[in-house]
Amino acid sequence: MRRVAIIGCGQTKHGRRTDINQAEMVSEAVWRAIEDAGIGIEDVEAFAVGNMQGFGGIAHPEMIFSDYIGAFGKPVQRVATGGTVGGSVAQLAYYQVASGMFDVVVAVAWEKHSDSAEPGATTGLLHVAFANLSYMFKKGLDMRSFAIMGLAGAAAGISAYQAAQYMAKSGCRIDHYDMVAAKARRNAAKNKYAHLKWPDCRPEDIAKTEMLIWPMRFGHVCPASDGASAIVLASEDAIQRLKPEKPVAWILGVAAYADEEADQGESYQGTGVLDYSAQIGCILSAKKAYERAKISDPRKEVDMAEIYAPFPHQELMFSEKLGFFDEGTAWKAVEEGITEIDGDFPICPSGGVNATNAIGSSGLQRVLECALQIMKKAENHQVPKDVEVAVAHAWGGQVQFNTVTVLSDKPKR
Amino acid sequence: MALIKEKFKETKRVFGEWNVGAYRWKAPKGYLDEFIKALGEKKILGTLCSGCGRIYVPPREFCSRCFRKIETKTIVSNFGTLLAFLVSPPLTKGKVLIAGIDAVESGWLKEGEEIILGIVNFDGTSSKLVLPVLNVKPTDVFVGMRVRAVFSEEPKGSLSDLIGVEPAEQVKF
Repeated sequence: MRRVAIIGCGQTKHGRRTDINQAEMVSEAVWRAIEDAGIGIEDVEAFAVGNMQGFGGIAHPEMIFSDYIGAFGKPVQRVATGGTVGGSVAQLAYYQVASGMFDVVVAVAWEKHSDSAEPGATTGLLHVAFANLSYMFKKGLDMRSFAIMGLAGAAAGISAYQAAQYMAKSGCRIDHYDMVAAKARRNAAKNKYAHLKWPDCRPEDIAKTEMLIWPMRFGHVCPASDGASAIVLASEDAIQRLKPEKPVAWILGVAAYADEEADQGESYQGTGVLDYSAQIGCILSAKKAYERAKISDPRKEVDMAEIYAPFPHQELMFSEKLGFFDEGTAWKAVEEGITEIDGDFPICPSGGVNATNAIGSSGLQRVLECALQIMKKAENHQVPKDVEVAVAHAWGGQVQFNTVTVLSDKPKR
Repeated sequence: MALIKEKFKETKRVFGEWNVGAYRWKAPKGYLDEFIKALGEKKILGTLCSGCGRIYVPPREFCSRCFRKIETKTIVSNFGTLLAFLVSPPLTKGKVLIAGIDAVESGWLKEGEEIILGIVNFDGTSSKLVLPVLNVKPTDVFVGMRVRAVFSEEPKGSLSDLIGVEPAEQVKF
């Protein structure tokens, strides 16, 4: 496998983007990444693209926007793994360069929620769940049970179960979720591309928001953002040839493992997942990515992480699965301020997915934000400590897909 | 350089609807028909994997962990343990919209009721089911609570026969 680095990053302002359409939004991120890399479109050999399938009301958007990103006469490959997709797009581009197939590849992932009246739900989530639901109705599911299921439906619902199970296991309290959410809003206020910005947000401010379903408050929930993220990946040979002026971020190791579908199983046949917060896929992904990156003690050898956490308990849960804290103890690290932007182990200094969630973009944005920290280009949300090794994580599917990407300022040994 | 539209705050809008339309999905043969038949007799049916010993509820036709076909069916206990739970605030009109329909206004859910959703592990199984926790106040529910299945009074062999769980006798030491 060849050594691969990220040589350019581009993202759009995330939020409600009624000023542009999907193709324009994707092109904005791609062109910014190419400009940041200091290369020309003629240097790009292939594109890895992806978003949530069906969201934004266009099932196959790359066929329209590939012109807008300069992909004429070049390979365009799409990957779809639900919420994880951005992480998978980054890894697809990595495979393409590491394998020797291409020298310079652009990875781009995006979401445009505001085009849909109900963000994602109508065209997106229905076509994910409709077959299973139809089958359950056929087997006598009544409307009351369906509505009860809907009280905690879709990703937010599953995350609510997850939050409850994590609390039951770890002994943390809702206050800790308030602390994590407040940190996300504060960090986002420093990031010019973020969506939900709240300078000086305190946990007490989050605690005042409405309880949607105990233990999840309105203040814990991520927004439905529009936005796109893009990175340019290059092989070691290409870097010597292109001679980028700015620092690059090397990819040390990647891994992606699937777990079982955690909720109902295919056609309501059940699943063997007892605990929504067990996340075996994340544990396996982390283990493999660290092995490939030659990391034996992640807490000591990694400097910061961008974790895919649309809901605050997930930052705690995943930071344990990624090996940064012992099982059930991440909330103590939050109490001590270890995960703050200026803490000993910053997590999501960008504000993370809890403050900005353009779903497809979110997974790739984690990789991009880690690269920015390594390149020291994160501007106002640059962490004060030196970042040599960073970990980017993405999560999605029916809570079972995970990707882990390890980045560094130095190439793989 | 990308297209820059500094002149416009709003791009041109076009409205449209996407009807998901009619599909003809094929469901696996599975054991779900037998599962709902058992519910009609106030029993819970699972399947036992001969490879790893996991018991799945609802009954699954293959084991995803050791990837082998499952042929042994077994009736599992009606008793179980609450692994975790959620509590809804008292429901009001306009709060619960499902596919654009107000669940309170349409009478599916009652105004003012607080619904407790439990993650239930029936004894001896390797699966969990999400079921309403009935006949108990939200303040009295706790993780690890012993629960028993509640069936509708006149079960007719459908998914809705299993309406939830309620507290069982709590053994205290």
